[in-house]
Amino acid sequence: METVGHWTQQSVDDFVYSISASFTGQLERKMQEKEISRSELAAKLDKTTGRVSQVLNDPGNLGLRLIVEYAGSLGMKASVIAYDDNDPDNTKGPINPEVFVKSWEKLGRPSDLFEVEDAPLGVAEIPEITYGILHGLEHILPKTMGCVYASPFDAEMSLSEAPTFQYLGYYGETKPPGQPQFCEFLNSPISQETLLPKGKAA
Amino acid sequence: MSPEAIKFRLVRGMRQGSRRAVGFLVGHEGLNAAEWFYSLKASRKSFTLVSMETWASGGTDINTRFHGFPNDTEYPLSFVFKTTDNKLGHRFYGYLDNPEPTTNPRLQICILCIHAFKNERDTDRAELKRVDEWRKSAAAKAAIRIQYPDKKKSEKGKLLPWKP
Repeated sequence: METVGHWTQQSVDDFVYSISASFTGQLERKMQEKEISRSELAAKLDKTTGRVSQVLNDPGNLGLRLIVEYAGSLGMKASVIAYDDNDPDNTKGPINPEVFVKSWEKLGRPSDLFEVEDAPLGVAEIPEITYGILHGLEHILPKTMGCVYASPFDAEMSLSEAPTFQYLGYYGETKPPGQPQFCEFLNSPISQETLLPKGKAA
Repeated sequence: MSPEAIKFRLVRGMRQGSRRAVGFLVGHEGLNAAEWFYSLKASRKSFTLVSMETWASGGTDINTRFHGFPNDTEYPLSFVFKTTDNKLGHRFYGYLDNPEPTTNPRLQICILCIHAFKNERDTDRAELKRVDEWRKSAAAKAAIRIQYPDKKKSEKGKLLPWKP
C-alpha cells in the first residue's frame, strides 16, 4: 500500500502556503462573525477590494507586515510561534492555528506564563457545554440561579445520555456569596436523578 | 453499476482530524470530485487542502471556503468545499456521515462526490440532489462500510480502529 506523507512535506513553500492559507482562513472567519465584507476590509486597509480578494483567495507567501496589518484591521493580533509536536519529519503536517487559539482561550486567555500556571485545569471557555447544559436545564433550574453544570463526558452528548453532572460554579458578574466562580470545578458530582424530578425527561 | 466498483478513499496527503475525515467516493463516471481535485493547479489544491484540514480539525464553517447546508430542508447533510481559480469557482460537493455509530459515534466523515464549476451567485440545488442520490445508494453505503465496519473487537481477532 502506498504510504503518503503530508502534502507540506514536499517543500518549504508548501508548508509556508499552508500557514498563510490557515491565517487567511482565520481572517475570513472573523469577517464572517463581524459581517465585514471584503470591500469594507479593503477600505479599512486602504487597499483595493481586488487586492484583498487576491490575498484571501491565494495567500501564497504572506509577509509579516501584511499579516499584522490584516489581523489588526479586524481587531486581532498575530504571533509567530514555534512548537514541537514530536513530528520532526513533518509526516502529519502542521497543527491548525485554531487549536492554539482555542487552547489559549480555554485557559482563560492568559497574558503571561504566570497566568498559564495559575489557570485551573479543565477550565473555562466551554460555551458549547455551557449553553447546551443551561439550555437543557432551563426547565429544571430556577432562572435566577445562573448555575453552570457540565457533564464530564462529551459536550455533544444529550442530557439523557450523560450520567452525571459536575457543578462548575456560578456564571455571571455578580457572584453570590459562597458560590465558586465559573470555571472552578467542585468535586461534587450531581446525578441526573437528583436534577430531574422523577418521571420527567430532560 | 456494480456496488464493488464504488470505493471510498481518504484524501491523499491530508492531515485528517481525530473525529473528522474527508475522502472521495470513486469508481463511477458520475463521481468526478477526486479526479478534478487531484488535477487542480498546485496552489488551488493546496488552498482546498487547507480548507479540508481546517474542517477536519474541528473548525466551524468559513462560508467562502466550505460549509454545510444544515438548514436545507431537503439536503441537510450536504457539504461543499470551494476554491476559485481566475474568477472561476470550483465546488466539491459531498455529504456528511457518521459511519461508526456503535464503535465510534463521534466520528464524522465528509464524503465528496461531484465537482462543478460555479460562480458566487449560482445555486447548488442540482448538485445537492445528485449528491443525495449517491448518499442513499447501496453502492456508496457498501463502500463506506468496507472502510468503517463498525464492529466491536472480538476476543479472536482485533479490528484496527480508524486512525487519522
